Amino acid sequence: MWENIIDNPTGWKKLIIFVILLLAWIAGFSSRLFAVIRFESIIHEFDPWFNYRATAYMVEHGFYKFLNWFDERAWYPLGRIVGGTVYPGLMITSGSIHYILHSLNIPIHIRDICVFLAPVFSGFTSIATYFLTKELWSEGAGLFAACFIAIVPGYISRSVAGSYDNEGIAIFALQFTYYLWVKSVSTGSVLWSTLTALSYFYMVSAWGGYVFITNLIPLHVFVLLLMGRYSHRLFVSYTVFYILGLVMSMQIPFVGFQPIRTSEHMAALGVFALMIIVAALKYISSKITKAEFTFLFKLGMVVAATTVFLIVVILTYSGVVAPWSGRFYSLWDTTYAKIHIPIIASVSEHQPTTWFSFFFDLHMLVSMFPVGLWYCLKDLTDTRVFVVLYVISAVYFAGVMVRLMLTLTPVVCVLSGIAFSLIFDCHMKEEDTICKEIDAEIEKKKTVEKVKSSRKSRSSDIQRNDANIDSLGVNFKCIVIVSAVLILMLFAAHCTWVTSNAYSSPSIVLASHSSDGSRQILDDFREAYFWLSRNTDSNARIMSWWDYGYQIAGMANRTTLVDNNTWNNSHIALVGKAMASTESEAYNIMTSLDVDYVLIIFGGVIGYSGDDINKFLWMVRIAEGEHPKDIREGDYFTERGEFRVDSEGSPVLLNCLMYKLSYYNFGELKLDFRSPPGYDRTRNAVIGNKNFQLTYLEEAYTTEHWLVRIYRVKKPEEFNRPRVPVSNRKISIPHTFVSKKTANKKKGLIRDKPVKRKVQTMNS
Amino acid sequence: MKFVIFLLFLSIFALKYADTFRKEKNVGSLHEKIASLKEISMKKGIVKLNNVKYKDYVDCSTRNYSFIIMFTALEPHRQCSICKAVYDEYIIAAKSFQITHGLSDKLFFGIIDFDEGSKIFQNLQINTAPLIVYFPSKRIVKKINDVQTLDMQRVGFSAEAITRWTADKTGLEFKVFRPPNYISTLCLLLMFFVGSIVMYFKQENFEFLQNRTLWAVITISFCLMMISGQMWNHIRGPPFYHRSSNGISYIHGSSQGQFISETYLIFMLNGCFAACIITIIENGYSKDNTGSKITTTAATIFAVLLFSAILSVFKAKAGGYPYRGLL
Repeated sequence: MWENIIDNPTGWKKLIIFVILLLAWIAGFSSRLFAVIRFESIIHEFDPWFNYRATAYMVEHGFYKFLNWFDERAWYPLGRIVGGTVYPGLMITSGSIHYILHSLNIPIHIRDICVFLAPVFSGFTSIATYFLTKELWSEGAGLFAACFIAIVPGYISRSVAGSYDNEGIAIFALQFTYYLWVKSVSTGSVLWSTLTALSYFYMVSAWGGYVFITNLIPLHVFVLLLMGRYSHRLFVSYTVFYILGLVMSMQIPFVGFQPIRTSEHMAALGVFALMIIVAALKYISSKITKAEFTFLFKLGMVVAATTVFLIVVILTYSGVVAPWSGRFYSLWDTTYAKIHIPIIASVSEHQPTTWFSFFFDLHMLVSMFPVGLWYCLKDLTDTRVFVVLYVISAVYFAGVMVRLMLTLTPVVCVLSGIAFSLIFDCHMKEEDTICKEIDAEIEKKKTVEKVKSSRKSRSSDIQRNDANIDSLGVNFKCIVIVSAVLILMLFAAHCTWVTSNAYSSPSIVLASHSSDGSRQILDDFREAYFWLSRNTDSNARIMSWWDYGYQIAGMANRTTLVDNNTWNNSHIALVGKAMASTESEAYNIMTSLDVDYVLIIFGGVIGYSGDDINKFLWMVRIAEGEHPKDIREGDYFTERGEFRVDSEGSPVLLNCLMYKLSYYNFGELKLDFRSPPGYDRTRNAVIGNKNFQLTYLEEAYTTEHWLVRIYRVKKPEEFNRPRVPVSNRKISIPHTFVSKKTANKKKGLIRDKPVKRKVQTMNS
Repeated sequence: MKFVIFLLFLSIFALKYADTFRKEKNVGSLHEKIASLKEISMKKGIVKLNNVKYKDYVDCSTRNYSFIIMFTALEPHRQCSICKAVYDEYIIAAKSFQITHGLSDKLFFGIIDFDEGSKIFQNLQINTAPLIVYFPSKRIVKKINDVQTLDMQRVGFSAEAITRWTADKTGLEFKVFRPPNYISTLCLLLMFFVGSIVMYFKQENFEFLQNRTLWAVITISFCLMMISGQMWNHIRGPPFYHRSSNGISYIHGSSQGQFISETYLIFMLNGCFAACIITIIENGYSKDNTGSKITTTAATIFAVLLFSAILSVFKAKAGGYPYRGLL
């Protein structure tokens, strides 16, 4: 019996595939744990905090409550309808995992599920990539691709433990949808295309990047039609996918009627119509003569194309179909965002990509994938057309916007997997299994098809190992293999290094190395948020720049004015205006918005470059966009157009609220013996406005390293009141009223009446 | 007698001349000034000013209209390439103003070329061109530093920027109407039309569209272009290389930026690397011949060297990167 198992080659093959995939999963999972091991199991950055808060809400209150959740703690006084403005896939995924584990009596906190969700899903992604590549090329290529995607930094950057964001699960959904689509095109079965639609539904629920699928799949179909590769398989798979996918995608509240109303989705509709027309023409052509058909065909094509085009144009102009959204539009017109939408231009993720970033995130894959692309193009099938289109569109988008590197990464892994599989395939065969069958037919064929035919013969090479013609000596093969392995090793080392150094910082806890090499943890953010949650009224409203909105809501559980969901530009501009105007003007804005506390980030003490003064110009710009009369960017520069905080800086800057709040009491602080008091380490300058007092605000709390500073906005009665001498004060003694009621008939007595607690003020 | 008649003629002529002379002088009246300004600006949207006209229309205290004036040097021998670009945008802004406000008597758009009004340049102490300046009403401007100029360094000189700035200064809001550029659309349509006709009649000449190798080369070149940062260059417009005191540097020192030369270098390195790998694979599948061994070995060594080159460029840009190839 044992001999049977050992001799069975398919069994061995399956086992090896399984083991490799398992190892890839484990490797991918473990390399994403740097942040957890170095710091702790904590949610990272900004957006994940909102996702976590929403997930916790859903787990606590149930799914339907979550869908109808109106969050009055965000965007004060507007509020936010969370259920309708969020892709719920992420929350539902971790919520269901939580539910299942709890019904199995495994008590795990929802936070841990959120932290480890992305690493776990990276394993699913590599399995989906394996299947996609296997469908496109071979199992060997699939294994390479799976291993690449497990550790490639371009994907790790969005899926380290703690980075609880939509992309973490969306890349899995993307790859899986593409696998199912490729499968359904090659089989033409309704089952596979239904599964594609289901997977697409999951993708729509998870990430706004589903638009990529709705445009890429129609593009694939369209190109296949252009190439004259129409088949019934294609017809079945696309029509089924389109109708089911459309109906299902509209079930997501946030998406709603967009799939039939916005330009992003029109391509899919147009291709659907085209598909029907082509199918009809094919059907007619089988019934009538060729001459009639040629005429009919041309007429039909022209009429169809013009009608579709005109309908789209008319609908767009009449306003039924919304034009491209700003973020999407900036992909095509590359200078659009820079001019029109400062808030998009301000986010560093929306910047174009240098070659350095490509190499940083993909290392040798970026040099290798053209090889895979070459062989896909040389030996084209319906499914390989898809991967070619995928890589062309993804590489373009990644070039325009650095965050879209994420969509490029999987396809680069697939193509590099193909390239490596080819290298090892032809150089690693044992002597007796190498079979270069030089058939007479193959000889006659064009050189273009050489590869294709040789691969055909390879598939059956085990049977025909009689022709033992070795093209290259073993030693020469060794050189190739060793070089390839070396490059792979460099790749693995690079991935680990990048993951460990660049992508594993939670950015909420900072680490710095002191001169003796010991590590110092700066936990100022959490310190400040904890202070807020303990020392302020639970309904206190906190004004900060939008970057910190989600964190304040998630960790301090307080009301914020603006947050990272930047849906209301004018509200953000109002906050920016308050920060950019003088204290008294800002006070008017702050009282009109009921602000109780102002929170700012200040990095001058420790030299943290991502603080609010460095972001300040964006605040000014965004404020100027909405209030061009009051705020002018030019006022914040010196005569020579420099932005500086020292005594030569522009007086408007030196007296604006943000400056004062950042540098309040900083002028007296001497950081070390060499530098003068008030020396800002981030901007390397002695501040220009040192001794000033705040009238309308008072310092409430400053964290250990001054990273977060919180100010309390005074009530109108607290400032600017002339002091009346005690002798002149008229104290009205309330008329003492003695009730005739007995003690137990008294009304209006509150037991354990809450005592107003005074806010602690700490001056450091 | 003849002499008397001649004298008479002369005096009449003189009188007539004096009359016209007085008329010329009479521009002083505000109403007429505005009327003539309107007349001039009706044609082109802007008023061309020289030394004399500037004195008449702008440099007077009774003026109850404001002026936006561009100081420029459009003559080709001045070699001011940006002046032409600013001029075009300025004309668009001025015309848009006319479309919204008609022939307003509040604001006029003027232009002074250095070759026609060098005296004004001197008087106002203007050293640079182009310059767009706001002359508020009822004020005589002595020096350019007294009045507000459009900060082109910061806001740019697009018609939108000029419009916003003008509206900010004068309080007269107007929208930019750009004359739609039909030429490119027409050209595209024409090319499409010609192309389709040629394709229809000469179908056999378009066999190359079926050529896979051509498509493969185009696709791969596009991918290589993108991964070597061509799009970044397109959006950011960096210089080709950087000349500093240490000599010419072709590679940007930091990971945040890059030069155009760098893009070409990476393009070449990546392309050659891919070509080497393809050679290796092709040789691996090809039938036995003596050249195969040598090419494979050469391609392998070459590929490793190329990859090491990419790595070392990368290492030079990333501070503290620990790994390197053979180079």
